[in-house]
Formats: sequence, C-alpha cells, structure tokens
Amino acid sequence: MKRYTLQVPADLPNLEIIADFIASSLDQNGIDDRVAYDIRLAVDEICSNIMLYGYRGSKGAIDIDCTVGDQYVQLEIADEGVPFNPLTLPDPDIDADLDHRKIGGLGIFFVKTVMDELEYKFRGGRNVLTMKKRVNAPPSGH
Amino acid sequence: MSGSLDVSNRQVNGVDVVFIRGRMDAHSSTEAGATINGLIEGGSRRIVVNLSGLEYISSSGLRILLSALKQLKKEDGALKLACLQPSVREVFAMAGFDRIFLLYDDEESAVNSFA
Repeated sequence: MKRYTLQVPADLPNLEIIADFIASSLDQNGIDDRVAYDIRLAVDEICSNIMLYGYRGSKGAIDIDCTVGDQYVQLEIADEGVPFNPLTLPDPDIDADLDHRKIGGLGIFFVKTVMDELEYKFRGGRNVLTMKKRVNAPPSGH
Repeated sequence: MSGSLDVSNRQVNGVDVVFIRGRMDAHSSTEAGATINGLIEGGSRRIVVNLSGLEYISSSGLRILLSALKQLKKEDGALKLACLQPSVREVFAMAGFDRIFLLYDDEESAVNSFA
C-alpha cells in the first residue's frame, strides 16, 4: 500500500497540479488508464467545487491524500471552507431535453457515478470526503 | 491564461471551426468559452468544435458547451461537435450529452452537415 499527499491553495489554476499529482500517483502503481481517468475526474470535480464555492472568496487550502492498495484506490480530500455535504445533492435529470437541461449538480453526479464508495464527514472544522474506487474489479456500469 | 488548454478558430465554407486542445477543467474552460461566445456575439451561427486534441473534460467544460448550444439555438444557429476521444465521449454519455449534442466522427462531416 502506498500513500501520496498533496496540499495546494484552493485556487483554480492549481487544478492542473492536482491532475498531475493524481495521474503520477496512479501511473507509478500501474493503475489502468480508464480507472485513472475516472479518479482524476472525481478529484477534479470535488476540488473545483471547493475552489469555486467552498471558500467563497477567502483563502484556504485543499489537502489530498491518495492511498493505492491492491484492491482499492482511496482518496481523502479535506478543506476548511463552508460545511458542504456533496452526498446530499440531488442528481440532475440527465434525460431532460436541451430546453430543460440544467448543468447544476453534474459534477457531483459524476463523482457518485465513477466512484464505488463515498463518505462525508465534518470533522474538526473541516469537510472531509473519502472516496474509494475498486481497481481489480470489472469496469463499473457506465 | 492557462497552459493546459489551447484554443484556435478558423472558417471553412462559412462555418466557424473551433479547435480545442488540452484539458477543459473549471479553470481552463473559460478560455474556450470566451472564444465561442466571442464568435456568437460577432454573428456566427454555424459552429463546429473539433475536440480531437481534447484529452480531458469535466462538468465545467460541459457547462461551457451547453451554454453555447443553448445560446445558438435561441439565435436559430447550431453548434456541432467533432472527433471526440473515447474518454471524452464517455463523459458526454455519463451526462446524457450524447443525446442533446450532434456528434460527428470527423470535422469534414460536421462542416458539411451545414450545407
């Protein structure tokens, strides 16, 4: 089991640093490209949300803890922004036609779709989201 | 603005073709949005976005494309997408966007579809 950590200021240009950190952590452990893409997407969506809404203009950091095990990749993402439980967000209607199509909630919906387990805690003044993705299982059904 | 995304555009047979290369995330997507919105504000009604160089898209990238599509529809125009890489196409499918966008395998077919 290997563990990688990153702390970055919650500023949008740092999304690329986060993407590179995730890609290299997974690549070093031979994680399949398709699984790695899903994990990058989930981490990117969560971190984008924190940067855009979590700190509401004030400065803050995002802590990412990536653990690569034999069966799971686990990501823990923590911030000190406003308390926000992404798991309570309703899913968007992805069958709506163009006129009725809304974009809100799509990012969190992606996270729920591509990851196998999600857990949210508000702990010590921090939002902590833990996400797990199986790495030795057949591809998830999307 | 961002090193992770390149945007360029050219005209082919009266159709504006926008080429997006790199990654469309919540930061870099704004550049692509500015180019497409600039074209629409300048009167362009027929736009093809060539995504052959796009290796990554998040919901923020989808938001930019959806907003352009809605805007063009209001103006009786159209926005069509060409050359999606498999990983990007999967994100479109996950969002149900493959049912609201017209997707073409190559740029020429997308451009010719306006003829």
